[in-house]
Amino acid sequence: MERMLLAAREMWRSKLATMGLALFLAIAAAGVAAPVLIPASVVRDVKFAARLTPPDAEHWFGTDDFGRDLFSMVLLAASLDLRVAVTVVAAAAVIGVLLGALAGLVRRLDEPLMRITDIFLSIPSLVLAMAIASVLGRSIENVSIALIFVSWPIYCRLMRGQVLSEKEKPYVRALRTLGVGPTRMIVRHLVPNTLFPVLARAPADAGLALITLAALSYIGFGPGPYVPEWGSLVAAGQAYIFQAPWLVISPGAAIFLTSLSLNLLGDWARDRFDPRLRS
Amino acid sequence: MVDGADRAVVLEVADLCVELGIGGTWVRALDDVSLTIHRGETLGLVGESGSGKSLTALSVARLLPDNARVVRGSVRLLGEDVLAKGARELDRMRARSVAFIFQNPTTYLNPVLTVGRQVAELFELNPELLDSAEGIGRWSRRELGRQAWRKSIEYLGLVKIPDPERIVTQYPFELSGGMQQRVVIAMALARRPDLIIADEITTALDVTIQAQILSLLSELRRSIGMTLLLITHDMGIVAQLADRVAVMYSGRVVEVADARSLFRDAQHPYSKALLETVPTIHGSRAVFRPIPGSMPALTDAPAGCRFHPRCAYVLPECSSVTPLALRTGPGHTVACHRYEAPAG
Amino acid sequence: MTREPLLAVDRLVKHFPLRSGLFGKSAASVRAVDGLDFRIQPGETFGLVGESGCGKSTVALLLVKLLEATSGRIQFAGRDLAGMRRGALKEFRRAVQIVFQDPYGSLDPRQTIRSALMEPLLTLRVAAGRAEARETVVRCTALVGLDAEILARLPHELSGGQRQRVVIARALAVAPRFIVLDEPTSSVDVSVQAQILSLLEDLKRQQGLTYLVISHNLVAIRALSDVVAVMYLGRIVEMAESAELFAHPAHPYSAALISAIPVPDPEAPRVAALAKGDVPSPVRVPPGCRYHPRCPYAESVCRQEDPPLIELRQGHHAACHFPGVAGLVSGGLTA
Repeated sequence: MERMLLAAREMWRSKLATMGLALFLAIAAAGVAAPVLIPASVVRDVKFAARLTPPDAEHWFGTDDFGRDLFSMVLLAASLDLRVAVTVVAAAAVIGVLLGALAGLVRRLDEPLMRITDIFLSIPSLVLAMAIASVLGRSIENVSIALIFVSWPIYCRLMRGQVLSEKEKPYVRALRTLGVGPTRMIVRHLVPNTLFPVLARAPADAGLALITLAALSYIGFGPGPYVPEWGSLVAAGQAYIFQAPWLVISPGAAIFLTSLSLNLLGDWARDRFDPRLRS
Repeated sequence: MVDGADRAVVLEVADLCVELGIGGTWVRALDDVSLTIHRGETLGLVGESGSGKSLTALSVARLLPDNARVVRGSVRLLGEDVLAKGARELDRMRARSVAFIFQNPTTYLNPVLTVGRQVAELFELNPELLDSAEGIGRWSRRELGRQAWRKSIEYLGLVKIPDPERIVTQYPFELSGGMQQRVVIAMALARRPDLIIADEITTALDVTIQAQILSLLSELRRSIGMTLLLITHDMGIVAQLADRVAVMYSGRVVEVADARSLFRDAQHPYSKALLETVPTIHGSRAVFRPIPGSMPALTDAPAGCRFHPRCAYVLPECSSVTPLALRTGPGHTVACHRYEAPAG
Repeated sequence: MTREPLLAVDRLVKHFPLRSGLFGKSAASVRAVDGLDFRIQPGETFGLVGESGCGKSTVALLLVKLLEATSGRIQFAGRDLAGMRRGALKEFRRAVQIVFQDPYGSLDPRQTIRSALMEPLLTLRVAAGRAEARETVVRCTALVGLDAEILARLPHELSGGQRQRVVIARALAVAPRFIVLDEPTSSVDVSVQAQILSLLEDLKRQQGLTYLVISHNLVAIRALSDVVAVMYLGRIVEMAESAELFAHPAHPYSAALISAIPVPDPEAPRVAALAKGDVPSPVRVPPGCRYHPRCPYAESVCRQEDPPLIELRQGHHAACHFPGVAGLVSGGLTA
């Protein structure tokens, strides 16, 4: 607890990190509030008469090609995108860290696990996600699964590396002479010392997951026009880019700002926790 | 050899004050440091970690860290003020007038060049060091390279590297720590500098190798008349190599004397304690006399004499008044209130 | 009048195979420890001296069962270390402790000092409960001369001297009988070294301990040890009572080590018993006497035959074909 307060105070000192945090919280608030404040019917509320109107007092972001209020769509999409990004990274981190710890601790599992991660890492993430999504089908859940498949290997690699190097540290040897057995060593010593640096990647990774999700939707592997998602909004607006540029600008800006805030947070976390960067 | 008053002064540091920016405040790391080194002399600068001896050495070539600033004082190398020099002059000074030898030779040598190449490079960049009878200007690039190579073998022999023709083709990682340090010494000598600064050069070496290096330095001192600033924490090394000794504590010079006088009659309580704290291996089983307490952090420096909290001879004024350096004998100065003439 | 030794080492060998060749078959090995025999009596301080590559750190690891020997036998209080299992192993870990060279590295950077000191009490079941453990921790902290307020700190907040004391306290916490001290003075300053040595002496007397001190620092060894063994390339080349060894070193390597120490006296005569060349690698052990390439007194027999460790006088052993050739005389050092 004390350590978290110390971390919070440190974050306050870094202006960029604070900005990133503030931005992220604002977007997250919007994402949380949106499904509550905005009725889901907006998505199906097709009004062809009002289509492609520019931003005005009634429609702050204008309307899309179905006549739907773009502001509502973008906010609803925030809820979805953030949820997916966070869930994907959380799941990928858990899986990756567990497998990575296993690889680092059990020598016999190291080779096979590393070769599996090699396979996943050798395929460009977008292509891999596309392949999985096309097999499983176009739904937000399946796209999430695809993204988890793409994200876990890096955590596995990192955790394995950290565990391997931590194991060789002198204090591990010293603790063995003090009667510390393997279970206690792993749980009370190795994991706390290795976990935080690895998890420092997570915020930046969430930003990446977000962009990959948007990209997938953009190229058509996403959930479709009736599920509001920033990427698909950009894709839909692309056809009208000269007539109604606001269709592309608002969701695009949303993607940019969210991944920016996550990256700022991620940079701060990495500077703070990554032992390799420590002098 | 003892009284250097009639010989040329190579280095003169006067009242040098250097501050370091630590944790948002400026901390006095060097406080009124004054040293003099004459030509052909070896000055031993003794102190423990945190005493400021390495910082003093770096100040000589203005190789201070980014968070350091010189507040006051002067550093004169051959009469010229180092602190006032421009960038190009400084580079030239660092290349030709001062040579450093540090503790870890591995980090000093370029791992991707052979040892011979590194020494030869010095000569190729500064052909005047080759001092050949034939005008150097008439040499081709190839001839210069050959002469440089020959000279580097010669210098490796000078530092007693066995089989220098073979060693010249090896990479640093193929050599032991002792050999690497000899190469670094050769590179320092090759520049024919006015001053060589050696900072804890044997600390990382095994004791028998250290003995070889010290023996080499001893010989070189006699044969080529090196002017050496020898920085160490080991009183034994100082006894073996130094003509004069300066003792530093917590950023200040507390005593300066010639080696014999210091060992026979150390005056500052810290110098005395330092000499007594190391148990000797000869005679009967050792008696430890540890100095109580520890050297204060720079941010926590005591007022007055910085050693007073640990001093067995502390006087009332020691905790408030900083002692000035007093001359207590020929070439012997001490910064301690005990040696002040009584008032009135 | 031989009492039962606390530690008995016989023909101890530890080789580390080097992988080379297409199928990883070992062609050569690092002969870190190549046949060691010695005894440590209860209450004694046994000093093990040598330079890098001599194998002394490997000996430390073998004695505390962090490494298994390639061959040979180590007995503690009469029990063979090999094949010790659960109960006996726990008992062993309580009785035999080690203080490593790098005190900062020996502490988990995320653990408070209190937690680090309490841990062995819990894992080795020395304390009946947390309350008793806490008391023991406070007591041990005082024993090593540290203030109780450091217990709440993290390792990086302490000075080098303080950390060294903390790891000593941690070893003491389980009330051991025997402590291996691996380079106890190497990571601290000269003035702190004296404090640590002084502390170790006091603790030994108060707690009735037996020490094995490993160091390349002969001054520290001389100061602490009753018996000293000099190691070179995995073997003991000389072993004697401390005063005897430093006054009359029989093996040329011991003489070289002793005379290599710079004496803090400018008037002292300079010695010439220097070892030639570099410290060798334990991968390529020279034939015959392993010291012969560096020995200024080597003869042809030295290049061919490996001299055994024999007892020259009561308690003084040396492995040399010409013991005493370095000609060092008691009290002074002349070539």
